[in-house]
Amino acid sequence: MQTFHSIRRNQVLLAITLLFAAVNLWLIYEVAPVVAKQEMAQKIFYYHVPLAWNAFLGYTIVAVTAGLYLVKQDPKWDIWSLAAAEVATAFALLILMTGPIWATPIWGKSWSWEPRLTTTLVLFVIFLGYFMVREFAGPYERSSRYAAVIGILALIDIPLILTAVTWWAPEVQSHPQMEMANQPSAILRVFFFSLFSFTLILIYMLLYRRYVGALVYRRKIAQGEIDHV
Amino acid sequence: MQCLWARSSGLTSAPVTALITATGIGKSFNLRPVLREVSFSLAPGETVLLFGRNGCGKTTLLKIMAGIMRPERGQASLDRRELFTSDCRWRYDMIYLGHRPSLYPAFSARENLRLSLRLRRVGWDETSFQNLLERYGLSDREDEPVEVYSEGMLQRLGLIRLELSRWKLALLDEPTSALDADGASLLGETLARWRTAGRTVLFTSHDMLWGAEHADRALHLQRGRIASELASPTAPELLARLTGET
Amino acid sequence: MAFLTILAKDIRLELRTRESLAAMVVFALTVVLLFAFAFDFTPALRGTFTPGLMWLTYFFVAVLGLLRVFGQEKQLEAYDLLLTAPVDRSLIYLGKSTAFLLLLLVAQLLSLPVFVLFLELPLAAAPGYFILILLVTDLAIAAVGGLVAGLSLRAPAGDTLLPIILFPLLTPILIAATKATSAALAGQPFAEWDFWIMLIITFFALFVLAGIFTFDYIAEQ
Repeated sequence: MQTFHSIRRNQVLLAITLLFAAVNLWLIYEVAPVVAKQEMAQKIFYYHVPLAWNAFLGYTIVAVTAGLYLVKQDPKWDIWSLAAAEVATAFALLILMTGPIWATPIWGKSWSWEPRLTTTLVLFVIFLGYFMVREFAGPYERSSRYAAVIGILALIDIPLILTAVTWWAPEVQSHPQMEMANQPSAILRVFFFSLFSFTLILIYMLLYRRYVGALVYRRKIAQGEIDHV
Repeated sequence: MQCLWARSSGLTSAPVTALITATGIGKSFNLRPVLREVSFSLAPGETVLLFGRNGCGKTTLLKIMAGIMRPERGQASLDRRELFTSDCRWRYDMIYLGHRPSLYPAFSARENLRLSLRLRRVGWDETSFQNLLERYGLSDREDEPVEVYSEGMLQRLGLIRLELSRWKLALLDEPTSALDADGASLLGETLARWRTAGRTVLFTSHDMLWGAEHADRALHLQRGRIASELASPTAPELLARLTGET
Repeated sequence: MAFLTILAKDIRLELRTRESLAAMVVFALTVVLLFAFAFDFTPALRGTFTPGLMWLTYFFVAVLGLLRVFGQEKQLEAYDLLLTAPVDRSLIYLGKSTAFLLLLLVAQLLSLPVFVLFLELPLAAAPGYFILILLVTDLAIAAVGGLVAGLSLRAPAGDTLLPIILFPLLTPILIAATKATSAALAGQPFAEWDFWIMLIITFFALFVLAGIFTFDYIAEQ
């Protein structure tokens, strides 16, 4: 039986992803200089920002594939869309976890309504609704269409939420990324390596989830055929 | 069984000048196919019965043709105009009467019908409205909100809506289900009148006697396909097809 | 033409039953009472909280209105009448959303005195700006609300899904409306808070376009 990992291309992808992840860990803890005031807490910056990149890239893929699904009515786009939604939401959850981990020693409190973190929280809640629609909004053929529309609305909403939250609490700032431009190049080099490494993880997870999604879809089709006779 | 399936895919008895042609209509619920590949065509002036067991997809097919439900596959054209596209003009030529008659309970019969005609851009004709109320036994009730109407009265009102509207094809889903004997015979007369006027009707009915009496042709929907069809069907023939389903 | 027919139909239905409006106004009054007891404001704090409480209340009132305006299509399958009529789906969205918009505005005008009287909303400070904020915010709520309600109308668990989908999407609007109302009623010059109005208008424009293009996929079963 063919599995995701029995495909040559995926084996190569997994190997490269793992290799990059290992090198990434080594770079972050052994090579990158320690920032004076934050010490080890600063290290989370190498995870947190790439996680955010992955989540928002994932949500963009959700909206694009949702649009394709609505126009072309081809279920393959819906399988992509669901895969991207789940992977992106997993990354969003990780952002919501790593944010407070960093903030606790640096800001002295675990949650502050920092704009990017708040936007992620709102998006996370929107996508909880998205998954509820997939579950509870009727048969698959209809709920997938509804979910696609919500996926598109969510992408339109991202810049608006970000703008609103930024203007809403201008006193809350000092996000890890804010000081990017002032970072020494030793830190930036490691950061961009980490960004690339995490993008590989996103691609790998997306392909894997899509593969499983397609299997589930085919199995349901086969089951439907059996039940019908 | 095999021969029936083979026959359905190569449906040939399409009338030469079809009013409506549907090909390869497919629809699933939770990836369970209800309609697999439904193809049929109807000629102008035909009255056609769509029959099959409960749950075989009769209502689904009518809803798809009416544009209420979205099919996953298939094309259809009405008077050479594509259905299932964003161009909605084909709906001028088609009217649909479902199990439940599509009315606003708080509105009176008159308000409901006026609204329906306005949406279809048909002018209001008080005289024919009064005549139809008379014929369908709803006189003097036209200004009551329809929430006090019985199921049978609602169905009669739905038929008045069809009488007042302009259309070439009517899709009737179980039009006799709530009608009494008088109402059913009234509908029979109306169907005959529509036939002479060259209007096409596709209807479903669980009453094989009534169905056979009024249909020029019957389409047997089975396993998501038009499995067979009968010209000038009789009730025993229809029942035989139904009980012969495996 | 069809847009006006659908709008007139909904207004007429509401005038006939008056159910939605009564429910919305009485609900607003009830919530204000609950707020008054729950928060036990000192007079100094009231001014800072009232705009937020008012908009929060109107969000819930909006959900009530949406459930009514779109729910009445479900009885006796009346929605099929609109769907089988030769009317573009986007006009159904625009017609019904506009009907909801008018309903929300009337409900707000009727319930505003409650906020002025019990929560000391300083409405007299800038009535013109307040009306402007009310209008653009309601437009934004109606643009998303009509779309999400059209979606929940067809779903079995639609009534519960409606606020769950709607509120997170509307968060920028809640922030903008609250901030703008606070600023306007505190007497700040328009130039200092006009960006909130811009944000709401941008939101409205984007979502009304999204509604026009996607309602086609939502209306059908």
